[in-house]
Amino acid sequence: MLHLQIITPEKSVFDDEVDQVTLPTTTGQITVLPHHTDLVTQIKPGEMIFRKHNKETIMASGYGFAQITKDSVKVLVDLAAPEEEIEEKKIEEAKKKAEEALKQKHLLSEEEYATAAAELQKTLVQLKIKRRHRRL
Amino acid sequence: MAQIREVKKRIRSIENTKKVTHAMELVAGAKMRKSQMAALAGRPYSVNLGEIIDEVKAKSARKHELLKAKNAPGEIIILVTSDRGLAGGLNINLFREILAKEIKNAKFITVGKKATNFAAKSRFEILASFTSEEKSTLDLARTLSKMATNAYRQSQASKISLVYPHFESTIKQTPKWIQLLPIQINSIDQPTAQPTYHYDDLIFEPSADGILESILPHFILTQIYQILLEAKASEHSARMVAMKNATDAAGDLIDDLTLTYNQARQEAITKELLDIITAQRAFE
Repeated sequence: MLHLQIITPEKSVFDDEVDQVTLPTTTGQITVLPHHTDLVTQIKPGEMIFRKHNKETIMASGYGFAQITKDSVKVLVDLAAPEEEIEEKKIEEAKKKAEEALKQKHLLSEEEYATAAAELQKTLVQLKIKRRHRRL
Repeated sequence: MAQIREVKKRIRSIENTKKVTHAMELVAGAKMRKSQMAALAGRPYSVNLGEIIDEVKAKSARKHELLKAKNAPGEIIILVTSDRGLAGGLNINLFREILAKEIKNAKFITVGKKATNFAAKSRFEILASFTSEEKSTLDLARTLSKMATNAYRQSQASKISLVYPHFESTIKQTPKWIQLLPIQINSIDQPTAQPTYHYDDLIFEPSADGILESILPHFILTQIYQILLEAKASEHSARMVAMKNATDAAGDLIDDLTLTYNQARQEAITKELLDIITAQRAFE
Protein backbone atom coordinates (compact mmCIF):
# COMPACT_ATOMS: atom_id res chain seq x y z
CA MET A 1 0.00 0.00 0.00
CA LEU A 2 1.04 3.52 -0.73
CA HIS A 3 0.07 6.50 1.32
CA LEU A 4 -1.01 9.15 -1.15
CA GLN A 5 -1.40 12.79 -0.20
CA ILE A 6 -2.54 15.37 -2.70
CA ILE A 7 -2.32 18.91 -1.39
CA THR A 8 -3.15 22.21 -3.06
CA PRO A 9 -2.71 25.68 -1.56
CA GLU A 10 -6.45 25.74 -0.87
CA LYS A 11 -6.88 22.40 0.81
CA SER A 12 -5.80 18.84 1.24
CA VAL A 13 -7.59 17.12 -1.63
CA PHE A 14 -6.77 13.49 -0.93
CA ASP A 15 -5.16 11.65 1.95
CA ASP A 16 -5.50 7.88 1.97
CA GLU A 17 -3.91 4.53 1.17
CA VAL A 18 -3.89 3.48 -2.48
CA ASP A 19 -2.46 0.58 -4.50
CA GLN A 20 -0.84 2.55 -7.29
CA VAL A 21 -0.51 6.09 -8.62
CA THR A 22 0.16 7.42 -12.08
CA LEU A 23 1.56 10.94 -12.29
CA PRO A 24 2.23 13.30 -15.21
CA THR A 25 5.80 14.51 -14.72
CA THR A 26 7.86 16.86 -16.84
CA THR A 27 9.91 13.90 -18.06
CA GLY A 28 6.87 11.79 -18.92
CA GLN A 29 4.16 9.81 -17.25
CA ILE A 30 5.26 7.58 -14.39
CA THR A 31 3.42 4.94 -12.44
CA VAL A 32 4.38 4.46 -8.84
CA LEU A 33 3.94 1.18 -7.03
CA PRO A 34 4.86 0.41 -3.43
CA HIS A 35 8.63 0.12 -2.75
CA HIS A 36 9.48 2.69 -5.35
CA THR A 37 12.89 4.32 -5.21
CA ASP A 38 12.95 7.69 -3.47
CA LEU A 39 12.26 10.33 -6.02
CA VAL A 40 11.52 14.01 -6.23
CA THR A 41 10.01 15.19 -9.46
CA GLN A 42 8.06 17.97 -11.12
CA ILE A 43 4.43 17.66 -12.09
CA LYS A 44 2.89 19.25 -15.17
CA PRO A 45 -0.77 19.52 -16.15
CA GLY A 46 -2.16 16.10 -16.98
CA GLU A 47 -4.03 13.20 -15.49
CA MET A 48 -3.34 11.83 -12.06
CA ILE A 49 -4.73 8.34 -11.79
CA PHE A 50 -4.74 6.30 -8.64
CA ARG A 51 -6.18 2.92 -7.99
CA LYS A 52 -7.48 1.35 -4.81
CA HIS A 53 -9.05 -2.12 -4.80
CA ASN A 54 -9.45 -1.94 -8.57
CA LYS A 55 -11.35 1.31 -8.27
CA GLU A 56 -9.77 3.98 -10.39
CA THR A 57 -9.95 7.68 -9.63
CA ILE A 58 -8.88 10.34 -12.08
CA MET A 59 -7.94 13.91 -11.28
CA ALA A 60 -6.74 16.78 -13.40
CA SER A 61 -3.46 18.17 -12.12
CA GLY A 62 -1.85 21.56 -12.46
CA TYR A 63 1.81 22.44 -11.96
CA GLY A 64 3.70 21.31 -8.91
CA PHE A 65 6.01 18.82 -7.31
CA ALA A 66 5.89 15.25 -6.05
CA GLN A 67 7.93 13.51 -3.43
CA ILE A 68 7.96 9.75 -3.57
CA THR A 69 9.34 7.42 -0.92
CA LYS A 70 9.12 3.69 -0.40
CA ASP A 71 5.62 3.79 1.04
CA SER A 72 4.29 7.29 0.42
CA VAL A 73 3.60 9.74 -2.36
CA LYS A 74 3.19 13.42 -1.64
CA VAL A 75 1.87 15.55 -4.46
CA LEU A 76 1.89 19.33 -4.14
CA VAL A 77 0.09 20.96 -7.05
CA ASP A 78 -1.71 24.22 -7.73
CA LEU A 79 -4.71 22.33 -9.10
CA ALA A 80 -6.16 18.92 -8.34
CA ALA A 81 -9.66 18.57 -9.68
CA PRO A 82 -11.52 15.27 -9.41
CA GLU A 83 -13.39 14.45 -12.60
CA GLU A 84 -16.82 14.99 -11.08
CA GLU A 85 -15.87 18.41 -9.74
CA ILE A 86 -14.86 19.80 -13.10
CA GLU A 87 -17.48 22.20 -14.36
CA GLU A 88 -17.28 22.24 -18.07
CA LYS A 89 -18.86 25.64 -18.61
CA LYS A 90 -16.62 27.37 -16.12
CA ILE A 91 -13.51 25.78 -17.58
CA GLU A 92 -14.60 26.64 -21.11
CA GLU A 93 -14.86 30.27 -20.04
CA ALA A 94 -11.48 30.20 -18.35
CA LYS A 95 -10.01 28.69 -21.49
CA LYS A 96 -11.43 31.47 -23.65
CA LYS A 97 -10.09 34.07 -21.27
CA ALA A 98 -6.63 32.54 -21.34
CA GLU A 99 -6.65 32.30 -25.14
CA GLU A 100 -7.77 35.88 -25.43
CA ALA A 101 -4.97 36.99 -23.14
CA LEU A 102 -2.42 35.07 -25.17
CA LYS A 103 -3.54 36.75 -28.38
CA GLN A 104 -2.47 40.11 -27.02
CA LYS A 105 1.01 38.87 -26.58
CA HIS A 106 2.69 42.20 -27.16
CA LEU A 107 0.73 43.79 -24.30
CA LEU A 108 1.76 41.25 -21.70
CA SER A 109 4.87 41.11 -19.61
CA GLU A 110 6.86 37.91 -19.78
CA GLU A 111 5.39 36.79 -16.49
CA GLU A 112 1.79 37.51 -17.40
CA TYR A 113 2.27 35.57 -20.59
CA ALA A 114 3.63 32.59 -18.70
CA THR A 115 0.72 32.73 -16.25
CA ALA A 116 -1.82 32.82 -19.06
CA ALA A 117 -0.12 29.97 -20.89
CA ALA A 118 -0.08 27.88 -17.71
CA GLU A 119 -3.73 28.66 -17.16
CA LEU A 120 -4.54 27.50 -20.67
CA GLN A 121 -2.70 24.24 -20.20
CA LYS A 122 -4.66 23.54 -17.03
CA THR A 123 -8.02 24.20 -18.66
CA LEU A 124 -7.15 22.00 -21.63
CA VAL A 125 -6.30 19.09 -19.37
CA GLN A 126 -9.51 19.45 -17.41
CA LEU A 127 -11.62 19.57 -20.55
CA LYS A 128 -9.83 16.56 -21.96
CA ILE A 129 -10.52 14.48 -18.89
CA LYS A 130 -14.12 15.56 -18.63
CA ARG A 131 -14.96 14.91 -22.26
CA ARG A 132 -13.18 11.65 -22.76
CA HIS A 133 -14.75 9.98 -19.78
CA ARG A 134 -18.19 11.10 -20.71
CA ARG A 135 -17.98 9.36 -24.04
CA LEU A 136 -17.19 6.02 -22.48
CA MET B 1 -34.53 67.32 36.60
CA ALA B 2 -31.43 68.44 34.72
CA GLN B 3 -29.48 65.40 35.86
CA ILE B 4 -32.23 63.03 34.78
CA ARG B 5 -32.31 64.38 31.28
CA GLU B 6 -28.53 64.19 30.96
CA VAL B 7 -28.38 60.60 32.11
CA LYS B 8 -31.11 59.68 29.68
CA LYS B 9 -29.19 61.31 26.84
CA ARG B 10 -26.07 59.37 27.71
CA ILE B 11 -27.92 56.09 27.85
CA ARG B 12 -29.33 56.67 24.40
CA SER B 13 -25.96 57.58 22.96
CA ILE B 14 -24.34 54.49 24.44
CA GLU B 15 -27.14 52.33 23.10
CA ASN B 16 -26.41 53.62 19.62
CA THR B 17 -22.71 52.90 20.00
CA LYS B 18 -23.56 49.42 21.19
CA LYS B 19 -25.64 48.80 18.09
CA VAL B 20 -22.74 49.84 15.89
CA THR B 21 -20.16 47.68 17.68
CA HIS B 22 -22.54 44.75 17.68
CA ALA B 23 -23.06 45.03 13.94
CA MET B 24 -19.30 45.21 13.41
CA GLU B 25 -18.87 42.17 15.61
CA LEU B 26 -21.25 40.18 13.45
CA VAL B 27 -19.60 41.27 10.22
CA ALA B 28 -16.11 40.55 11.53
CA GLY B 29 -17.34 37.20 12.83
CA ALA B 30 -18.53 36.12 9.41
CA LYS B 31 -15.31 37.28 7.74
CA MET B 32 -13.30 35.65 10.49
CA ARG B 33 -14.73 32.20 9.87
CA LYS B 34 -13.95 32.43 6.18
CA SER B 35 -10.44 33.75 6.59
CA GLN B 36 -9.59 31.33 9.41
CA MET B 37 -10.56 28.38 7.24
CA ALA B 38 -8.49 29.69 4.36
CA ALA B 39 -5.45 30.19 6.60
CA LEU B 40 -5.67 26.76 8.20
CA ALA B 41 -6.32 24.99 4.89
CA GLY B 42 -3.23 26.55 3.36
CA ARG B 43 -0.81 25.44 6.06
CA PRO B 44 -0.19 21.81 4.97
CA TYR B 45 0.87 22.93 1.50
CA SER B 46 3.56 25.34 2.63
CA VAL B 47 4.84 23.01 5.36
CA ASN B 48 5.17 20.10 2.95
CA LEU B 49 6.79 22.25 0.32
CA GLY B 50 9.36 23.27 2.90
CA GLU B 51 10.09 19.63 3.67
CA ILE B 52 10.69 18.80 0.04
CA ILE B 53 13.04 21.74 -0.35
CA ASP B 54 14.91 20.64 2.73
CA GLU B 55 15.61 17.33 1.08
CA VAL B 56 16.45 18.72 -2.32
CA LYS B 57 18.74 21.31 -0.79
CA ALA B 58 20.81 18.66 0.94
CA LYS B 59 21.31 16.84 -2.35
CA SER B 60 22.01 19.71 -4.67
CA ALA B 61 25.65 20.10 -5.51
CA ARG B 62 25.44 23.74 -6.42
CA LYS B 63 24.33 26.22 -3.85
CA HIS B 64 21.40 28.15 -5.20
CA GLU B 65 21.58 31.92 -5.19
CA LEU B 66 18.45 32.29 -3.10
CA LEU B 67 19.84 29.99 -0.40
CA LYS B 68 23.20 31.72 -0.08
CA ALA B 69 23.84 34.50 2.36
CA LYS B 70 24.66 37.80 0.70
CA ASN B 71 27.10 40.47 1.49
CA ALA B 72 25.06 43.59 1.08
CA PRO B 73 24.28 46.57 3.26
CA GLY B 74 20.97 46.76 5.04
CA GLU B 75 17.90 44.64 5.07
CA ILE B 76 14.36 44.80 3.80
CA ILE B 77 11.38 44.28 6.05
CA ILE B 78 7.95 43.51 4.70
CA LEU B 79 5.42 44.63 7.26
CA VAL B 80 1.91 43.20 7.00
CA THR B 81 -0.93 44.87 8.89
CA SER B 82 -4.60 45.60 8.38
CA ASP B 83 -5.96 48.53 6.41
CA ARG B 84 -8.44 49.48 9.09
CA GLY B 85 -8.26 49.94 12.81
CA LEU B 86 -10.64 48.91 15.57
CA ALA B 87 -8.88 45.61 15.89
CA GLY B 88 -7.64 45.87 19.46
CA GLY B 89 -3.88 45.70 19.91
CA LEU B 90 -3.22 43.81 16.69
CA ASN B 91 -1.26 46.44 14.80
CA ILE B 92 0.17 48.18 17.85
CA ASN B 93 1.77 44.94 18.98
CA LEU B 94 3.50 44.61 15.64
CA PHE B 95 4.81 48.15 15.78
CA ARG B 96 6.10 47.69 19.30
CA GLU B 97 7.89 44.56 18.19
CA ILE B 98 9.64 46.47 15.44
CA LEU B 99 10.56 49.45 17.60
CA ALA B 100 11.93 47.14 20.28
CA LYS B 101 14.43 45.70 17.80
CA GLU B 102 15.91 49.13 17.15
CA ILE B 103 16.42 48.47 13.51
CA LYS B 104 18.96 50.45 11.60
CA ASN B 105 19.61 50.49 7.93
CA ALA B 106 16.35 48.82 7.01
CA LYS B 107 13.95 49.59 4.21
CA PHE B 108 10.28 48.79 4.42
CA ILE B 109 7.72 47.35 2.10
CA THR B 110 4.37 47.91 3.74
CA VAL B 111 1.13 46.05 3.25
CA GLY B 112 -1.92 47.71 4.79
CA LYS B 113 -2.61 51.38 5.48
CA LYS B 114 -1.68 51.09 9.15
CA ALA B 115 1.77 49.81 8.26
CA THR B 116 2.32 52.61 5.78
CA ASN B 117 1.31 55.24 8.33
CA PHE B 118 3.53 53.71 10.97
CA ALA B 119 6.58 53.51 8.74
CA ALA B 120 6.10 57.08 7.55
CA LYS B 121 5.67 58.40 11.09
CA SER B 122 8.73 56.56 12.38
CA ARG B 123 10.74 57.93 9.45
CA PHE B 124 11.69 54.58 8.01
CA GLU B 125 12.53 54.38 4.36
CA ILE B 126 9.62 52.92 2.40
CA LEU B 127 10.33 51.09 -0.84
CA ALA B 128 6.75 50.36 -1.71
CA SER B 129 3.39 50.22 -0.03
CA PHE B 130 0.27 48.28 -0.79
CA THR B 131 -3.18 48.15 0.68
CA SER B 132 -4.45 44.66 1.23
CA GLU B 133 -7.67 45.27 -0.65
CA GLU B 134 -6.59 46.73 -3.97
CA LYS B 135 -5.64 43.36 -5.43
CA SER B 136 -6.54 39.75 -4.86
CA THR B 137 -4.41 38.04 -2.25
CA LEU B 138 -2.69 35.89 -4.84
CA ASP B 139 -1.82 38.82 -7.08
CA LEU B 140 -0.47 40.72 -4.12
CA ALA B 141 1.63 37.72 -3.11
CA ARG B 142 2.98 37.47 -6.67
CA THR B 143 3.95 41.13 -6.74
CA LEU B 144 5.62 40.95 -3.35
CA SER B 145 7.57 37.81 -4.12
CA LYS B 146 8.79 39.30 -7.38
CA MET B 147 9.94 42.46 -5.64
CA ALA B 148 11.67 40.55 -2.88
CA THR B 149 13.40 38.11 -5.21
CA ASN B 150 14.60 40.84 -7.54
CA ALA B 151 15.90 42.96 -4.68
CA TYR B 152 17.79 39.99 -3.31
CA ARG B 153 19.23 38.91 -6.63
CA GLN B 154 20.46 42.44 -7.24
CA SER B 155 22.13 42.51 -3.84
CA GLN B 156 20.06 45.36 -2.49
CA ALA B 157 19.79 43.68 0.88
CA SER B 158 21.49 40.97 2.87
CA LYS B 159 18.28 39.80 4.41
CA ILE B 160 14.60 40.09 3.66
CA SER B 161 12.15 39.37 6.41
CA LEU B 162 8.44 39.50 6.96
CA VAL B 163 6.61 40.69 10.04
CA TYR B 164 2.97 39.77 10.43
CA PRO B 165 0.38 38.86 13.06
CA HIS B 166 0.45 35.08 13.27
CA PHE B 167 -2.92 33.49 13.76
CA GLU B 168 -2.87 31.14 16.74
CA SER B 169 -6.49 31.17 17.79
CA THR B 170 -9.47 33.49 17.76
CA ILE B 171 -8.32 35.18 20.93
CA LYS B 172 -4.59 34.99 20.37
CA GLN B 173 -2.50 36.53 17.61
CA THR B 174 1.19 37.09 18.07
CA PRO B 175 3.61 39.18 16.03
CA LYS B 176 5.98 36.93 14.13
CA TRP B 177 9.21 37.45 12.19
CA ILE B 178 10.00 35.25 9.27
CA GLN B 179 13.15 35.30 7.25
CA LEU B 180 12.16 35.17 3.62
CA LEU B 181 15.56 35.40 1.99
CA PRO B 182 18.03 33.74 2.15
CA ILE B 183 15.60 30.87 2.39
CA GLN B 184 15.41 29.05 5.67
CA ILE B 185 13.19 26.05 5.76
CA ASN B 186 10.49 25.26 8.29
CA SER B 187 9.88 28.87 9.02
CA ILE B 188 6.15 29.22 8.45
CA ASP B 189 5.01 26.84 11.07
CA GLN B 190 6.51 24.40 13.50
CA PRO B 191 7.96 21.52 11.55
CA THR B 192 6.01 18.31 11.85
CA ALA B 193 7.44 16.07 14.52
CA GLN B 194 8.68 13.35 12.17
CA PRO B 195 12.31 13.67 11.17
CA THR B 196 13.12 14.29 7.52
CA TYR B 197 14.94 11.34 6.05
CA HIS B 198 18.02 11.67 3.97
CA TYR B 199 18.39 8.74 1.66
CA ASP B 200 21.55 8.29 -0.30
CA ASP B 201 19.82 6.96 -3.36
CA LEU B 202 17.35 9.78 -3.76
CA ILE B 203 16.64 10.45 -7.43
CA PHE B 204 15.65 13.76 -8.99
CA GLU B 205 13.86 14.25 -12.24
CA PRO B 206 14.89 16.24 -14.21
CA SER B 207 17.75 17.21 -11.81
CA ALA B 208 18.21 18.53 -8.31
CA ASP B 209 19.35 21.88 -9.64
CA GLY B 210 16.49 22.05 -12.08
CA ILE B 211 13.97 21.37 -9.37
CA LEU B 212 15.55 23.90 -7.04
CA GLU B 213 15.42 26.51 -9.78
CA SER B 214 11.65 26.25 -10.00
CA ILE B 215 10.73 25.22 -6.48
CA LEU B 216 12.49 28.05 -4.63
CA PRO B 217 10.66 30.98 -6.25
CA HIS B 218 7.48 29.00 -5.85
CA PHE B 219 8.24 28.49 -2.18
CA ILE B 220 8.71 32.22 -1.62
CA LEU B 221 5.40 32.91 -3.31
CA THR B 222 3.64 30.25 -1.26
CA GLN B 223 5.15 31.57 1.93
CA ILE B 224 4.03 35.13 1.26
CA TYR B 225 0.60 33.96 0.20
CA GLN B 226 0.19 31.93 3.37
CA ILE B 227 1.31 34.87 5.49
CA LEU B 228 -1.19 37.18 3.86
CA LEU B 229 -3.91 34.65 4.66
CA GLU B 230 -2.71 34.38 8.26
CA ALA B 231 -2.70 38.16 8.61
CA LYS B 232 -6.26 38.34 7.29
CA ALA B 233 -7.43 35.68 9.71
CA SER B 234 -5.70 37.50 12.58
CA GLU B 235 -7.19 40.84 11.61
CA HIS B 236 -10.75 39.63 11.52
CA SER B 237 -10.36 37.58 14.69
CA ALA B 238 -8.86 40.51 16.56
CA ARG B 239 -11.58 42.83 15.36
CA MET B 240 -14.32 40.38 16.29
CA VAL B 241 -12.95 40.05 19.82
CA ALA B 242 -12.39 43.79 20.20
CA MET B 243 -15.91 44.56 19.06
CA LYS B 244 -17.36 41.90 21.33
CA ASN B 245 -15.56 43.47 24.27
CA ALA B 246 -16.83 46.89 23.27
CA THR B 247 -20.41 45.61 23.05
CA ASP B 248 -20.13 43.97 26.45
CA ALA B 249 -18.65 47.12 27.98
CA ALA B 250 -21.45 49.21 26.50
CA GLY B 251 -23.99 46.83 28.06
CA ASP B 252 -22.38 47.19 31.49
CA LEU B 253 -22.33 50.96 31.17
CA ILE B 254 -26.00 51.04 30.21
CA ASP B 255 -26.94 48.92 33.24
CA ASP B 256 -24.98 51.28 35.46
CA LEU B 257 -26.52 54.40 34.02
CA THR B 258 -30.02 52.96 34.12
CA LEU B 259 -29.60 52.44 37.84
CA THR B 260 -28.46 56.05 38.27
CA TYR B 261 -31.37 57.19 36.17
CA ASN B 262 -33.92 55.28 38.22
CA GLN B 263 -32.46 56.59 41.48
CA ALA B 264 -32.56 60.16 40.25
CA ARG B 265 -36.14 59.78 39.10
CA GLN B 266 -37.24 58.28 42.41
CA GLU B 267 -35.51 61.11 44.23
CA ALA B 268 -37.40 63.70 42.19
CA ILE B 269 -40.72 61.99 42.89
CA THR B 270 -40.04 61.81 46.62
CA LYS B 271 -39.09 65.49 46.69
CA GLU B 272 -42.27 66.48 44.92
CA LEU B 273 -44.34 64.40 47.33
CA LEU B 274 -42.60 66.06 50.22
CA ASP B 275 -43.46 69.47 48.82
CA ILE B 276 -47.11 68.59 48.43
CA ILE B 277 -47.42 67.07 51.87
CA THR B 278 -45.63 69.98 53.54
CA ALA B 279 -47.92 72.45 51.81
CA GLN B 280 -51.00 70.51 52.90
CA ARG B 281 -49.78 70.31 56.51
CA ALA B 282 -49.25 74.10 56.54
CA PHE B 283 -52.92 74.70 55.77
CA GLU B 284 -54.24 72.44 58.54
